[in-house]
Amino acid sequence: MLATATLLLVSIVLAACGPSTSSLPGKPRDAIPSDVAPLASSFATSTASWVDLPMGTSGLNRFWELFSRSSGTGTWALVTPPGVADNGGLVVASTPEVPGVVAGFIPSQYLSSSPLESSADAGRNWEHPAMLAGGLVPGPSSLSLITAGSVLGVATGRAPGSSLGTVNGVAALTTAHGGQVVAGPLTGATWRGISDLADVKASAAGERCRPSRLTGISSTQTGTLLLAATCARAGVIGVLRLSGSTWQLASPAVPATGTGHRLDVLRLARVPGGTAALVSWQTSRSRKLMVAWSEAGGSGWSQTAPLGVPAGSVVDAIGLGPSGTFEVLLTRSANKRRSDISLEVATEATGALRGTWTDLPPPPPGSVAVAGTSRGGALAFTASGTSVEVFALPDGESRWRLSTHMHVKLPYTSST
Amino acid sequence: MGSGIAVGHMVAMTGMGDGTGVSLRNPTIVSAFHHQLWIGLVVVLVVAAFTPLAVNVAAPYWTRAQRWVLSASRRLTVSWRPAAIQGSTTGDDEALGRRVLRIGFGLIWLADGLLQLQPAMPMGLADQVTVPSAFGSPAWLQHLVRTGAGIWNDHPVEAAAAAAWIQIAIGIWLLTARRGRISRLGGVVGFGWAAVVWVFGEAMGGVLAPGLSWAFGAPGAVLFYAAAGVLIALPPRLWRGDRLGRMLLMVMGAFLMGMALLQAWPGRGFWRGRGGDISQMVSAMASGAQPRALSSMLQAFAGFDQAHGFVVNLVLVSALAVVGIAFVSGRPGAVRPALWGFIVLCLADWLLVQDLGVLGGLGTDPNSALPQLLLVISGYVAMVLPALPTPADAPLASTSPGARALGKTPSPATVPALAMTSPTAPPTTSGVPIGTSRPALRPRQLPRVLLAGATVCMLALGVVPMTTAALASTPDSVLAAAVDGTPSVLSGQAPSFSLVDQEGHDVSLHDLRGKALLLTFLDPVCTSTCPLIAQQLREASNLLGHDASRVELVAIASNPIFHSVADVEAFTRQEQLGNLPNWLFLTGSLGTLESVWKAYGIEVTVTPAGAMVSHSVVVYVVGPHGNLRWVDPENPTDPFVAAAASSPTAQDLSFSGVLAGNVRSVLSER
Repeated sequence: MLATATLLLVSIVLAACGPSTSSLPGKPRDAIPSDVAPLASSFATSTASWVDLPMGTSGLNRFWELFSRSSGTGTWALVTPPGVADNGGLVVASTPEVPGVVAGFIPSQYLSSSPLESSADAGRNWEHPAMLAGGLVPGPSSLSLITAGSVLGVATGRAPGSSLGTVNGVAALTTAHGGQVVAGPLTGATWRGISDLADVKASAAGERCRPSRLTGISSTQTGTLLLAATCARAGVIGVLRLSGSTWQLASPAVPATGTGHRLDVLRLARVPGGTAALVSWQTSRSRKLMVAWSEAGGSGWSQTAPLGVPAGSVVDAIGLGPSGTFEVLLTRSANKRRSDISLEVATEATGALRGTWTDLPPPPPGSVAVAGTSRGGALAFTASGTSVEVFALPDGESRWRLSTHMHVKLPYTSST
Repeated sequence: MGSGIAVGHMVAMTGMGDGTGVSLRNPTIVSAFHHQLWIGLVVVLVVAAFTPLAVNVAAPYWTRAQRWVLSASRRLTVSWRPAAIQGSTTGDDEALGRRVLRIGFGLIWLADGLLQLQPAMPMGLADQVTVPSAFGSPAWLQHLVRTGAGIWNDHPVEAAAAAAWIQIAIGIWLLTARRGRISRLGGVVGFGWAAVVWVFGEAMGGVLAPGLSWAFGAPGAVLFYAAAGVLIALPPRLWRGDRLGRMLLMVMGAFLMGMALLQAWPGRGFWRGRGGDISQMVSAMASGAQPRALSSMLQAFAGFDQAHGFVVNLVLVSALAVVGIAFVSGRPGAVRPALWGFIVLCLADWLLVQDLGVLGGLGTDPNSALPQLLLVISGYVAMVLPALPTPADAPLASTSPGARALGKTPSPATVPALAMTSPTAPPTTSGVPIGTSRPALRPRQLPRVLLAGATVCMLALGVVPMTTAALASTPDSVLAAAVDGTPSVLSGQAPSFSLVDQEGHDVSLHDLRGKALLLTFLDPVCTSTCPLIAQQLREASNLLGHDASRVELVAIASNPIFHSVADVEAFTRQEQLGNLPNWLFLTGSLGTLESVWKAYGIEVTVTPAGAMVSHSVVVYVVGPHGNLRWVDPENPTDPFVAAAASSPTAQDLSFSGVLAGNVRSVLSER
């Protein structure tokens, strides 16, 4: 018996593995890849704050976990929608006006469709309203709630059995046909293709933008669809608005520093009182970030001055705060040393942007997401293995304070 | 709906280790396990039967050996003496506290060993118990546990039988060996095996993982088994007086105070009611298979905790702290009420949180509440009812010259002949004079001698195969036999069902009469195995050629959340099965599906935190007349299967090849 134990122990060979670092080597301007919008995100609904972040290790042992904090309770709870492996990623559609959310699973392994689940009570209970036959585009803006009007006659009226409030339907951006916009009611299978990449390219807006890929979908308060795209034509911000059955370019103005550069729309989302877009581009010396905000949705944009961050910085997470703020978590990779930067910019529901970027203190090591709070502060989320820690930065303070520690029993190897 | 069928099935338990592709109750494995146990039992009986004879034959030689040892010890003036000699001077009484431990843990070990005889143990223990227990632990510990689980999975029959024999043997050993070195050796063996189980079976009780809580069983029941083993192995003199009992209580008290601190630590989820760790754990325990009354009680407590989580944790923390402080104080006046409180606390925890430990699943130990209770009661008894010191409690074996001068060394003529061979030697005051020809064994000693022989034999039946398994570099051949898809004929008809297909048409089993069915259960949103199984069914249909027109490929949805017609239609489209005329992906309301799952023995579990639904993976072969066979699928993700599927020569060995062969077999039946 003891010999057995000894033999078992002797037979152990511990695999050595270490963290890998990567750096972005300097590349010619034309070779700079488009920014990929990070999936890690935070947002707010009318009754709760949410954060969607990666946990575990990598590949099939990476799990995207969704946490919510109801306004009433003040404590974070794990509310990841059940029933589907979420190794590919989790996208959540929300608007600040309604309590409900719709979550979509980005396909992984052999699954090519995207199951959707909805919740009206901050994630405590989930329903399965629909199955999206085409897989969602991996990005935080590939799913959007339609809260008013109709989309080509598809999303009309409140879906039977829906308890999400005034949600008329869902618009999604799938990978079919190189990128396809579909819309449908919350329940049933009557999804309808609105446009695909070829349609967009063939439109008048497409001729000006020459979209290489579609990156996000959103809708205005009146139900008009907005589309985010990466334009192959330099100096064009790919925000398009569906007018009738065709797409029109509805972009914010391009600042001088963006002229001649490829501009990526990293996030297109509803914010209190309007729609906002986070735009990024890379110059030879730095990365630029700009937030544009439109009350009407696609016209009358207000925008921040471009903010320069160190070249090579990568946007790791984007937060949409309950009071209209954008929080951005960046990782700077230089000389194989990583340092995190978090930024915040505020929008105002009543009019033009307050428009100033604020450098938040360096977030705690291992931060994977940031969020704004209704009291003007910010939160940073770190994830390490099965642990999540929430750090709070009260408004006006300069130090992150640990506020919550959570443990998640991750289902390692469940997808293998 | 027909009556349920008791068939084996592989639970594709998510997050549960490597998996072997063999079902929990694979008939080949279960049969081999039972065969191994029966063979072992026969060997045990034979050995036990011959033990008295062996004892009588060996007795003269043994007494000579004892005499030689005695003379040698005199020559060398060493302090070692045979147990029989020691026993002859230490008196007949076993300290009451030690007896509580020995009998209590003997019973627990015995029950644990008997529960190891469950048919699902060979294929289930590693992947469903040990590997999940390591979740959240450091990578090195998970690696360690997985290595142990790999050895178990490679030799499931030997390992399961060995574990059962070892634990039954330890139980019998502790129950029957009352004193002497043999009894103490039982404690050592118990400690050793408990240590192995604690590391490889319980991932060190989760002490290195987050979420550690006394209420949930930390630091692992088996650690208390190990502690009991150490205490039983202590020299008897240490059990005299109240010191050991007091120390035991102090250690337990310090442990409970530490647990109280952990339980009270902010941010660990114990203070929360709704969504808190305690209510979630109790709810999870309530969902396991158990009597309805117990489940209702757990659900009621979970509801109470959701409403009053803070209060529940406050009571728990306070109770642990107060009891711990009282135990540490060592004052009988404080310990006595604390002991009663601790009994209530342990029983409440055992009943309301730990769910008796052994219900449902493959658990074999009663969790930590009872073992702790035994330790504490033992400590208390040892403290307040100490055994009186005996002359033999002078330094063992007369290590001091003074002790020897007091005549502690016995006369060789009174050395009992049997004492060293039997763990149950009688008091040596009736020893047989060495050199006499009278048989060494008396009738009243016979039962204990039989048990001693059986115990030694059972230990050998456990240790030898376990060691062999650990050393073997290749998996057991029984696994190959289990995964080759050999069909097992089941008696009775396939349970009926009435569902709808991927196009919304009603389909019942009755409608499919006259055709052979390949019937399986698939999750429409599964990301790994299910699509592969669906393709294996398609391949089986292709291999059948013209016979394919007499076969229906039937999948039934096995996801309690995603089971709409749209879901199964999406899966059909994703796998491009819509053009197969004999493909049916059936679904229905959740209630209807649950009835079908139950009738076919399919387990479906929704696992949180981003995992896919875990469900049994099995393919049934149903004959044209509704006679049911089943095929236990090999893992379609196995590289060998993939290679076999692409090689014509090996096609018959592939999963689809086996399925096609089984279908031909049932089609040929009259």
